[in-house]
Amino acid sequence: MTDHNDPIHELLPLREPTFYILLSLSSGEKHGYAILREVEALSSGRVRLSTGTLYEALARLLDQELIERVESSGKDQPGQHPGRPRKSYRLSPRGLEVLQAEAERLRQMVAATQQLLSEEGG
Amino acid sequence: MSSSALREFYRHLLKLYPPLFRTEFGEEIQSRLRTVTGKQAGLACLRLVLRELVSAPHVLLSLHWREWRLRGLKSVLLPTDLPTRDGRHSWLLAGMEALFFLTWAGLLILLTYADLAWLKPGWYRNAGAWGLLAAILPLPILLIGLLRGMPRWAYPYYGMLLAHLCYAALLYHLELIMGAIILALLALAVMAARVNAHQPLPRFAQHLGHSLQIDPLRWIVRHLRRRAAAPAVGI
Repeated sequence: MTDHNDPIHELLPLREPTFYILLSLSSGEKHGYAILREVEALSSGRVRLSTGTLYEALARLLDQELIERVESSGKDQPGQHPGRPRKSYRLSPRGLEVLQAEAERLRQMVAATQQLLSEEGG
Repeated sequence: MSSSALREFYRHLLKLYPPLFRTEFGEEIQSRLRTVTGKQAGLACLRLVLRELVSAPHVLLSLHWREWRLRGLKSVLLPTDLPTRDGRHSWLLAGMEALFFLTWAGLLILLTYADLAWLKPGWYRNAGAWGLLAAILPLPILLIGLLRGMPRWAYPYYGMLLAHLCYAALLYHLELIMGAIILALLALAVMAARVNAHQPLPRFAQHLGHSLQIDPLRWIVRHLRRRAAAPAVGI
């Protein structure tokens, strides 16, 4: 049963872009451009974030401590200043909990919908 | 559309973003832009610009509101949340604190020792009235300081309130009350130092909680919520 005393549930439901951003970070740390690409791929091209929307969401998620910023000195990318550490983002433990709670909420919704539709169909 | 035109467009767009956000993400956004423009050109670049323009009003409103809501007066007066905290930042902070404190202290000294006879007759020739005004004016700033989690710039006002309370208590021979006030304010100061960022309270109460560290209140709210969520047991 869902524990509504848990402050994590106060963050739900997540907006679609937020959900996809967290989902994209669940597979490991990524920088801004990689997140954009991943979100687009995960949503089959339906969610295309603008740079402003992405960084607005990242700032909010950092405030809520759902993600963490890491400085990675990985291989230089085109357009990146050589030798300058790249800022990446990764899911925090709290962010993972929120993502799992949202996934569970969505699963319950889908299950309820499927059940109702199958009853009506049958 | 050329990639250089797109970079120019972004450069201008970035100026519209709130200052703290620009400090935190500006360079990263431009770096990301260099990556994108290195891979796309022509119509793809135009599409990017249009996407930014469409989302800009909402993003800008949201970011400015967020910055005001979260940082409030602190972002206007002191950039205490700048990611790069260096010696210069500490000096700036100390300078701002000293400026606040010295302004009010100077005003009080001036009113106590200056001859106001050169002013036209009126209430403003009364040093007592000015003293009262000087005592009352810091209170809203102190209140904002309390709501913002007692940042360092609010400390002088905190001290001034304590001084005024002590003065009033001594004037009316209320030494016991004065002792209680000092103890209460000291306790609040100690508790304010123990700030917990994860409080399951509304944001307003969080700010107040950060200032006063009302742990018992947090416990009561949790307890009441648990009771409300618990299923009723029938007989």
